[in-house]
Amino acid sequence: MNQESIDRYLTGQMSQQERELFDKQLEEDVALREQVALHRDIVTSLKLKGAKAHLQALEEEIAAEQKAAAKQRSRRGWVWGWLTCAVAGCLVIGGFIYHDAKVDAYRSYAMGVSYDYTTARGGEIVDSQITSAFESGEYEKTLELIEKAEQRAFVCDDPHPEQQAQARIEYEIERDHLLWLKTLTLMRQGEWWQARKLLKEIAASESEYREEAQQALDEL
Amino acid sequence: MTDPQIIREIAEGNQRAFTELYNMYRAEFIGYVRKSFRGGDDTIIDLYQDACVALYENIIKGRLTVEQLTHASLKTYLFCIGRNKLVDMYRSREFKRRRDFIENIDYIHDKLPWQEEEPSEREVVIRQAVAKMTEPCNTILLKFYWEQKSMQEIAQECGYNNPDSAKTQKSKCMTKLKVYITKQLQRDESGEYR
Repeated sequence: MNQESIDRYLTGQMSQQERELFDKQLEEDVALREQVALHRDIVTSLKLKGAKAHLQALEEEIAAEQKAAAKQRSRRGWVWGWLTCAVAGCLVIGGFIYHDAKVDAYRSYAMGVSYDYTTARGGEIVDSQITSAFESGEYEKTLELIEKAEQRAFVCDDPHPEQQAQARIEYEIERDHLLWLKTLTLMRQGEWWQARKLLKEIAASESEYREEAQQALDEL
Repeated sequence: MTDPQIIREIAEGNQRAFTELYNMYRAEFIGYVRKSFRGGDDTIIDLYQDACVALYENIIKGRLTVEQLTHASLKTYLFCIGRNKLVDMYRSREFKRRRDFIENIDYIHDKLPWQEEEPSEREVVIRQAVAKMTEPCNTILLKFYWEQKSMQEIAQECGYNNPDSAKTQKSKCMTKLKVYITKQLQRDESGEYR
């Protein structure tokens, strides 16, 4: 029996008459039965091999599509990356411009503020070394001296309570003046960020400079 | 395409139905296996392909028919086969050593309408012979039996002068394969190589 006939029999392509004849031959011929069985098993194995190869090819297509999609996403990512960099660059440049404007504003504002460093009785509230350094524009030295003065603890040798209370008030006033002077020094130095923090601190305190501090904050 | 349509189309040799079945449950199957297996995607995809081919085999051999869909869906059968293949993998020495499994898993027997069994020695011999096929036999036989192409199409695609030349080549290949397999089976029966 030729292979074409077996193929036609197994795939149901034979006519009714042909099929009946083939079935009869199969009943009578053991060798033909074996031949048909082997043919069918080989065809099944071929189909299984084809099916697996088909799925592998399909998977390669899926992988290629996923790769292409990832590439597109990556390209989109680059565009976003560049845009982000551009925006960040603008912000940095803008930040510098803003910073410079603030430095100038704080500096010129502080130059226009006079520091009244004497009491009603003509005495000095803060050490004259500090005020002279401030007036002569030695701002680093001014800050160093202020820092030292700020570290000094309250001391009163007078045993009288009223005198002690007075000394305490004077000590507090000195500290308020030191802070105001420090703020003005920083403003003149252009350290506007630190100066603003101190202005806020003074504005929120009971310091006699709280109104000046608030005014400076409002204007700056 | 519905489950009965897929079974009918695959039984008739429609590749498109088989492709649709594969694509339909691919992502879901990967997610299902990942619950108990932490190995690579390539291993899971290979497992899914083997499950699809096993389902295909049961359809073309008539073990899975439209009538059996009253018990369970095609997806249930497919995932059941896949899970049992995963258990085979789990029990293999290689994977036990690699500790790729998150939990202990066991076979599912009750959901399948057929008995899953290892291929017979005869089937192994035939599959090995088919796997070893070289060109031009590999292409011409796969085009005819898997892709179901006509001799006219095969002649055009493979560069034969005419359909008769392609038919002669196909017949030679099939005869060669049968002779080789018969010899191998006779050797096995006579106990040679044992």
